[in-house]
Amino acid sequence: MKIRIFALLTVLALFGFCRSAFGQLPAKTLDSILEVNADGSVNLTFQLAFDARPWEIWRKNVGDDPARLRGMMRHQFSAYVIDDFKFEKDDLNRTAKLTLRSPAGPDLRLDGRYQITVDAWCRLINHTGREWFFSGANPAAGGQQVTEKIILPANTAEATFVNAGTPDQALVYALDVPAGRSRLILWLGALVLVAGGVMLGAGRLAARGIAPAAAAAPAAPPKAG
Amino acid sequence: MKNLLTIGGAVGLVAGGVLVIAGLARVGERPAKLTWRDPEIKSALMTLGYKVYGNPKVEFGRHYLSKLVFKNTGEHPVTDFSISYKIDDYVPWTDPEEVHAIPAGFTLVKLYHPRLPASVTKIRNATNATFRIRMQWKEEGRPHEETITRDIVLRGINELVSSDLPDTEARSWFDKENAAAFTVCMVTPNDPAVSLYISEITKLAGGTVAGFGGGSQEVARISRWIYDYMVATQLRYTSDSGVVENVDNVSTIVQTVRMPRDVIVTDQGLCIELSILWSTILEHLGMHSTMVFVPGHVFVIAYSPDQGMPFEQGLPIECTAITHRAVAEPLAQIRGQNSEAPATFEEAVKLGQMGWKQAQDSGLFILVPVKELQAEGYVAPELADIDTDRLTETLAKRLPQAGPAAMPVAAVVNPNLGGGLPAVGPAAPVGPVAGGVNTWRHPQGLVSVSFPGDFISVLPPGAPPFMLLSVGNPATSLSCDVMHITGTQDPAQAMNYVASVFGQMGAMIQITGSTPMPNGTIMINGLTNGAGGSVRWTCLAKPVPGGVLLVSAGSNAAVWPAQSGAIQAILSTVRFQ
Repeated sequence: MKIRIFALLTVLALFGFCRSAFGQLPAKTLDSILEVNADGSVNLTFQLAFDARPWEIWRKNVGDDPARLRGMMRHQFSAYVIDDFKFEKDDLNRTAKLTLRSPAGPDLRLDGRYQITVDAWCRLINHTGREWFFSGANPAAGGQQVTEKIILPANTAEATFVNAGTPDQALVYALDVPAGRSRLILWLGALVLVAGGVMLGAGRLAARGIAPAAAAAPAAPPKAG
Repeated sequence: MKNLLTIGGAVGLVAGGVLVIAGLARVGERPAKLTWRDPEIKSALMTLGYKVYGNPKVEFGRHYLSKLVFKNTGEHPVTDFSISYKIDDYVPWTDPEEVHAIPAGFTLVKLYHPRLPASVTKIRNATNATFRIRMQWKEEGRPHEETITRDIVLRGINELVSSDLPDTEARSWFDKENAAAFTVCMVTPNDPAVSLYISEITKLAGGTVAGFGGGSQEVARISRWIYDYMVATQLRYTSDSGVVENVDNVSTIVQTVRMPRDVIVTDQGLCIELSILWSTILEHLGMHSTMVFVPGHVFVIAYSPDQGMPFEQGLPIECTAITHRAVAEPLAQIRGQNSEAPATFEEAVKLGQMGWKQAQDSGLFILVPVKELQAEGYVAPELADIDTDRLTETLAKRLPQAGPAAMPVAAVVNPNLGGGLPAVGPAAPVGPVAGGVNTWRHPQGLVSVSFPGDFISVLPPGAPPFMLLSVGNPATSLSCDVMHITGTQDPAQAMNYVASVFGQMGAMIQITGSTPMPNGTIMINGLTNGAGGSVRWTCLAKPVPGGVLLVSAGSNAAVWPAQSGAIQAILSTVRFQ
């Protein structure tokens, strides 16, 4: 799955239903947070802010009908898997917040690492190794300002941003996989095996240590006469 | 003590051995286990959009045939996973898509976008096919294989489905028309039948359709010619509401929609077919269009490529206005009286504007922007060969009985949509084109041009090698030439070279004017004076790989006014690569 579609398609799903004229009135800004879990599932949060007129149109079409919004998103995103969907809006500030979850997030690379494709119009702003910040103007939504924050799993290793500035730019990372229970058992077994071997050896040596001592004792000289 | 050590050591060895074996055997962990959700397999595909289904980039891949969601529920990786697909009789087993290892707990989504063969476009009626999915993988080294089989339906090439949304999700009219974008697959601007149709329009317009220069006035001018031709040839609107069909849990309208070529041949069409025809013609002529779906109806908005989306500047056209009965009521409103007279173009535009306003007021409309969707991947399927000679004859018979005629050019100068366009006046003769049309194509496909079938080759012996074609009708003095001047990319330089060569042959070329046109083409007007008299001509010059192509059409200067329409008609058929 290419996660980048979420940012783009959320805009389309929210405002481009059936390519109606309302597609020309996207949210003013879109802030997204994408939290990737170790099992590859992702939690997405979108925060949208509107100007007055687009807000009214958006409310009329989907803002007051979240079930329709969810249905259309599922349809438009049908190539992907969306399990949970939550939605809340703030009429006072003309903002809306959308959260959803997908069990299938990053792509699996042939080298065993994971990959999250980032929209070509997004530029890397900063990163801490685990948290990555991107920003850009979405050309498909009239230059809408978008910020994307991607939080990688806690056990991420070797996260790098590859092919920057190209349509193939992507965040690539590996995971430090903790040892499984069988590995612990294996190590414990090896330890016990070694310990057993040492004990057995010591026991054998101890047994040998007594017997040779008796054998090594000089024989009593025969009594004379 | 020594016994205790020996016994403890032995126990330790045994216990350690057991633990090592248990560790190696991964006792206590869930083994690798591949599970999957119920496969999502589309029950029917529209063959007219078979290229859409095969393109995973269209609408972010949502037009898949199957979607499988796998999950490794074990604590060890599933290895050597592969999946391949087959559609009996149409697609052989695909190369397996392989995943070396699916990590523990990982979810994998596999979509199949079938690359159907072009032969599916020959399917006329819904046809059953068997779809198979084969999966192979290993759990803890043990190989597994599973095959899923489903029956699917391949719809006929003319069957357009309005929605693929399950009934459980469909709530509104928008949902019931969510497959409207597939209509664009029926827009076929490169169909030879369409080219012939446009050639006829051009003839009727006296050649003035050629050379779309951009801007709303040009859109109005050319759209008017299209509409007037349709009315003149008695293209009719017919009504059909489609049939409701249920496949699985999808209830949808299945409408038999014919390609533009079929509408041209039969000279009648539904509103959607007429809209598709309009979009096809507009696209062919370099304009853009958006089909507007409203409940129970479709019309079109024409606009110039430099106008962007047509919300404000486009020209809404009620395509069904060609048939009075279809628009009798709103037409009476516009006219303020009942009249059986067919709607004029300006009335068709007013009807379109009314429809567009109603759509905007109600919010119930779906826009299908043709160019955008074509760019996204909604492209037309391959079309069967068509008998162009027969179609040419058919179209020629449809022209008004007075013969092919040109509408007066003056009537469309500065058309003003707001105030209504001037009515179409009586036709001025151009001269019939008898014997059909011949088309010449450059050997490398750099250009093609069509000319009347009664033209004969007039290429003189010893003609310079850059003259690729010289045909004409000695009786009318009409002629057409194609020249390929190599070694330059400058049309002026090429024309100078031609002038110098002709000069050596005793003919003098005089350039009277030149006009830049879109796409780097330059239109040059001139005269050639020689022993045979004075020939007036118009030439289209365009730089091409390796040189400049010059395509000219002309006639004896003395008969130029009578022949200019025919000359323009020839030039309107010029297609540079």
